[in-house]
Amino acid sequence: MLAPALGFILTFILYPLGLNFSTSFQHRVFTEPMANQFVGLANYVKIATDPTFWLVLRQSALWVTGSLAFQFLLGLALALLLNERFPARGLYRSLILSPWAISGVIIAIMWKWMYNPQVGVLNEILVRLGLVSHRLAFLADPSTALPAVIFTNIWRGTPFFAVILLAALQTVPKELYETAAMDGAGPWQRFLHVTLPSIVPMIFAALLLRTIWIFNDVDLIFVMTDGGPVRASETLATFLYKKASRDLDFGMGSALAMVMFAILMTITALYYRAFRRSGRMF
Amino acid sequence: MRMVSRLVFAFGLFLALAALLPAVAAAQAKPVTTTFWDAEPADLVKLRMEILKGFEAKYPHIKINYLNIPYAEARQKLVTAAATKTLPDTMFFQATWLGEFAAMGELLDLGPYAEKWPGGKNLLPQVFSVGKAYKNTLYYLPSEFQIDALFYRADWFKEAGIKGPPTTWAEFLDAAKKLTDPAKNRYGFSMRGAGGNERYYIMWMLMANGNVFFEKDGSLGLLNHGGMDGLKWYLELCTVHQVCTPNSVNNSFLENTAEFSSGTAAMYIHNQYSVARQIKAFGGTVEAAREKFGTAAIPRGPKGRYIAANFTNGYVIFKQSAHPEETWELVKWMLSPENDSKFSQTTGALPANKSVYDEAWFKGNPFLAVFKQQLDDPAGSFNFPIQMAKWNSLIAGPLKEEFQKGLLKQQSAEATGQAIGKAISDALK
Repeated sequence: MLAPALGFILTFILYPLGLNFSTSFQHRVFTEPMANQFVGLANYVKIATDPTFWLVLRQSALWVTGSLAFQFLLGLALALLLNERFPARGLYRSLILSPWAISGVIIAIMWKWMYNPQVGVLNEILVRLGLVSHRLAFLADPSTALPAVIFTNIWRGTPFFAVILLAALQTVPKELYETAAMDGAGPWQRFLHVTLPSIVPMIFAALLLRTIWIFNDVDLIFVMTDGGPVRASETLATFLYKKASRDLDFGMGSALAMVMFAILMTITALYYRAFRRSGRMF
Repeated sequence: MRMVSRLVFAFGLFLALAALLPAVAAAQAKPVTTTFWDAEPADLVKLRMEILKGFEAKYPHIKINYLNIPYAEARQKLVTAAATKTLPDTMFFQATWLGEFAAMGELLDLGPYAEKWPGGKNLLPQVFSVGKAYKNTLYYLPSEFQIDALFYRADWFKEAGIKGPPTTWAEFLDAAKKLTDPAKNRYGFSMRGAGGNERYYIMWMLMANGNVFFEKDGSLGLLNHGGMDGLKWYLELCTVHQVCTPNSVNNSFLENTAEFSSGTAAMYIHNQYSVARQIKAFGGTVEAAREKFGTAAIPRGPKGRYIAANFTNGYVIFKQSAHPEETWELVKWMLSPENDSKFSQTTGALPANKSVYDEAWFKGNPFLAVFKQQLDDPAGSFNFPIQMAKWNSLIAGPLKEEFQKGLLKQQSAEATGQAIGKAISDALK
């Protein structure tokens, strides 16, 4: 009975992982087929001593934490709002999903043009409202390129949290709120002591999933800035893609992939540890 | 008389059989399937399929297995196919991929096929000079040329009383300064600072140094003989004279085109693909558009020459092909004057066949003449070193980024030039 599951895991998870692990110890560049050879830890040493790697790692941390924090907070706020009764609630619940339903590439193209200083609507609004004295090249300025892409990612990812947390809120028994209210708890206390503890498992699951997805995401960055200008918006995922796909250096690409894998496994392990400490089973 | 009648009858029968024989041979030839990939935009797929249907009608024993791939994924798909030995028989191929795929040993030498092909005589000589870029072997047959020229707002020039178009660097800078007015969201020049930026700064460097990319000994000559001055001059358009649109460092050709047609940039440089877009943006007809914009040769540099970058797409046959002979028939079909003309009229590319340039659609479009003029001028056009195995990763990596650093004033023009020179020199080793 276990055979099909084991077969799936072996074929689609362990084999590719093993092959990637093996390639990470080799010099394997497509345009140098005669130079393929085992090089031990050389690729990992190159990574550790490459200033670009540490730069993109820092930027990856910014990319993930910046996107995640605001996606979660805004998603929770939206979920709490949509959990209340008001006219046309059903329509708003449908509309809230629309950024999530659109392809990442379309979102990136749309926002890229919106940010354009010459023809983009954002600058037009800012200038007409008198909020800026000159047009801002959000994606062409190294100091604003990554924040601008993070903002787009927040717009895209907030619906995910809104939907997941709304579903979680709807499982909280109303009697708990009634009991708390009878005991004199105000709205904020009910939120802290009834709502939050009840939905913590869903919060952790959503946060973990989104952390992994955002860490691996490349579509917005590629289309909007291609990691530029001058790597100002480069993350580990886009750096890895360029190494493997553009430079055709599969040895280095595999080593970077193993580093990313190790980082994500560490994050997952920390999550499980925190979760177990809180005494909740997931 | 009877003898003559018999001879005439016999001759007529011979002619009839000669006419029927190829069809009979084709019908009896073993059916094969040849796989063809291309990365044309979706709106060209219909034209492509019409042309392929014509081929299948002429060669009923050859079936085409056609696959259209989104452009952004095409190279990745090719790389994966090369790794898994699943390459197609032929592909509509980008020139910048030549060096790497030839270095991988994946391309078939088309020389022996082209030598026996009478149709090759109608092709531009540039088809063969570019096609033999890698180790002087014909691995690639360009079928379309993209050559750069200057697009300028003729109506802005007239309004400002500037004699246009500019023909020298000095005139170009002067016009760009006069047409720059940030308060009105107008700038003299939309520079391409994102992917593909190397095409333009290398042009400027070559104009300054007399078109010397490599020295005679094979070492890099781009920075020598005044090349560094050309790079500095070009960078200073944005960093000193500030005539460039603010988004220049992140501009691809799409942003350049949009900034020009939306009325925020007076000039930009691009190939003839932009002609159809701008005609559409400025009235929809050649007559209406001529009131608004014009095309001109790249302004001449200090050595009195212009240099226009030449970029091509074309056909290769992969060594993995199980049917190279049949695939060669397909390549010949795509390069025939009739199909070359159909494609060029629709895509805006410069065709590969000499005879197509005499057709009314080309001669009747005044915007296109300057592109052909630059393509025909051997001292005025430049082909990138696509024979370098690492050229594709260079242009996507250090050549783009170092120039962006210069544009953003993160390093001086000299440091930018040195970094670019080092990247190319290292790739030559």
